[in-house]
Amino acid sequence: MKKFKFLVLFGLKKRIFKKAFVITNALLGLGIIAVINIPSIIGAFSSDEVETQKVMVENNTDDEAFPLETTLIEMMNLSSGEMRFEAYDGTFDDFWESDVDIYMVFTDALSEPDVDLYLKNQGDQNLVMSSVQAFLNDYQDIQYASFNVIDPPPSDDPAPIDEETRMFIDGIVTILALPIFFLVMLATQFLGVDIIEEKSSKIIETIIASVPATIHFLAKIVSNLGFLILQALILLGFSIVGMGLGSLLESSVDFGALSLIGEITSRVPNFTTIVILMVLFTIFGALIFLALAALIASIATTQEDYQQFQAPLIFLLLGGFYIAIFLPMMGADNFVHIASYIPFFSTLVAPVAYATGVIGLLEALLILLFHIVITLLFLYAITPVYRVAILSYEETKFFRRIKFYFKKAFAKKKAE
Amino acid sequence: MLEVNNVELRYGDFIAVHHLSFTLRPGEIFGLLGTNGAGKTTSFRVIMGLLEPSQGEVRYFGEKIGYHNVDDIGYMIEERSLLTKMKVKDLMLYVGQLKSMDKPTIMKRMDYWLAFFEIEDYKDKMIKELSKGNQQKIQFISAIINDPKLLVLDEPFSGLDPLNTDLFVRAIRQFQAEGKMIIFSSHQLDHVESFCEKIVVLEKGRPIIDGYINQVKKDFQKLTINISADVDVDYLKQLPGVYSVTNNSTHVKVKIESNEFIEPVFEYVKTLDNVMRFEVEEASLSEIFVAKVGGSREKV
Repeated sequence: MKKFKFLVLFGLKKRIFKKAFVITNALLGLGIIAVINIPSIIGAFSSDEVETQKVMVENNTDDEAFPLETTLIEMMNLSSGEMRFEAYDGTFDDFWESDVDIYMVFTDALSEPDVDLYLKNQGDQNLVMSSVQAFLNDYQDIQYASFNVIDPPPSDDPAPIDEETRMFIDGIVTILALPIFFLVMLATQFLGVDIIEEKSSKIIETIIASVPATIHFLAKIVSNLGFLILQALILLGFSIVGMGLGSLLESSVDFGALSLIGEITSRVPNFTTIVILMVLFTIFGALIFLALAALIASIATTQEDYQQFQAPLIFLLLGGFYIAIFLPMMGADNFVHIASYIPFFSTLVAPVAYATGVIGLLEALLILLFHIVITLLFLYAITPVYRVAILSYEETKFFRRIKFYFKKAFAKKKAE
Repeated sequence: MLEVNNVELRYGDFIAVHHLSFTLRPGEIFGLLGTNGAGKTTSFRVIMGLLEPSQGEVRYFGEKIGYHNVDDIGYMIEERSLLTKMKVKDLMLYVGQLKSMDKPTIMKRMDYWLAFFEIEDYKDKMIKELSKGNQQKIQFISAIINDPKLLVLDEPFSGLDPLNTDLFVRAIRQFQAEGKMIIFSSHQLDHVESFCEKIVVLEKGRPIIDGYINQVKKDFQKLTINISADVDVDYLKQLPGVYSVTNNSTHVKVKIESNEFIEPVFEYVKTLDNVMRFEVEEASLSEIFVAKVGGSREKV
């Protein structure tokens, strides 16, 4: 256990206390902070285009001649900095289907009216109410309006996702798959290079003369998984800093835009669950990829060998990535559903399948459990092969070599 | 004490090590020899407890050897096995900690051996900056950093100049004097002859020579007679038991089948004038090795 801990910490330190690690993360940090605050940055440099809302006011009070609509729109425009209100010229049958954003019906005495308020955007409510109240103060003595805010009609679909939101969710899928792909790729590359460096320099003979091959195998996986988690935490830290910076900018300078994360969380209600699932799938998903990378590196004898032999690993990783980013956008939900169960692909596809609503939370957790079981079985199957391969220097072709090592490993296991 | 009892290692139908047996006591040096690919490295791994034998057992001071004993063992492989991008000090700390040593002890032992090998100034240098000979020294120090009770040295003198070879010989003798057990492999058989009391020669995993060197030589029987005189080489070749006569610049080498054939040669030499040298010597280990390994291959 002491040697296992030593190997894990040694592997971690070897990665972390490097100039390359610090510089890469510094650049990544700047990039992440910038990407998160893209809307604010764009807002800061964009032209002063203002959003316009259509307003319609119906005056059924005792003073029908009073230009109520014009007066109220003027007052609302005075109160609102970034929004512009203008009168709607046309007519409509159903407000909720119309192009009008704000519709007010005044009845009873204008000095103390009853107001039916129809709002497409509930965020406008305070502005409208305060404008009406300000108008009343000017109109006569201080009186109060009696507001009746009209709710939108109920729908058959309990949680409708409009087309825009759906497109948005499909679009951010790329952002979800990218960090998993990046982290798993980074960790597998580091692990492979680590093992092949030890093997090609023959220091592996000294190491395996001091620790069992199984401990070496597991220590390499745990060490690189630790690195992956640390790297993920650093990225998360940068995201938090980015969001904090975004909030700070918004409070000091009104860019009229949310940060990217703010935009996502406002549009994807289960974003926190998605992030938690992403983290779980990244950790457990990386395990199976790391085990495969370790096996491939143990079979290779030189760096060149490893570059060639890692093709299956790269294909699996890229395959999962492309399925995760393209198929949801193409609407191939059935394919995404099936792919989220396939070992190796599930690491990248399952969190995306959940994010796009192809699978529910329970199914996502079941897939995670299934994936963990498969990973454990995979580890059980390849550990004896690693033990044989790590100290062998066969120079045959890849598949012949794998066949030879499997045969040797299981012949030995059978004999034991 | 290390006891290797009838050890066999199989991978399915393939037998990597055949019935290997020997005993090594504290202070003894044992030679495990063989051509490339004869099964030495696999045998070393079985002996050190890194591989479980399919049959037989290896006992280390009475108990079955295994990974629990590796901290007592030092192993130097034939090829260069160093992380060359590391500093000397860092590599020693890495290897030492793999042998469960604490840092102060590693540093103390490292300083001692760096001074012994006259490379104390290289402690903070990257290994790749060192010469081949100095890298060999670093590899040797990394094998002995844990003060092993059992030291396995595979070709320790490979690539060394005579001065450095002498330093290595002194270091190995020091270990022997301290009562350490040493298993030694080398293609330079004169070193094996000078170091080892006992040897095993492997060919395709199978021991073809096994025992004390003196006994091996006696059992081999063949002898060499060195003669410095004006000899008739053709006449010598016709004598009974003579199977080879080589005329060197200073003397003639006559090889005979066994000691009973010394007499006819001696009788012939007595008839000659100007005899400066008549010397009978046992066959060298190198001759025995070539004869036995070559014979084994011819049988195959």
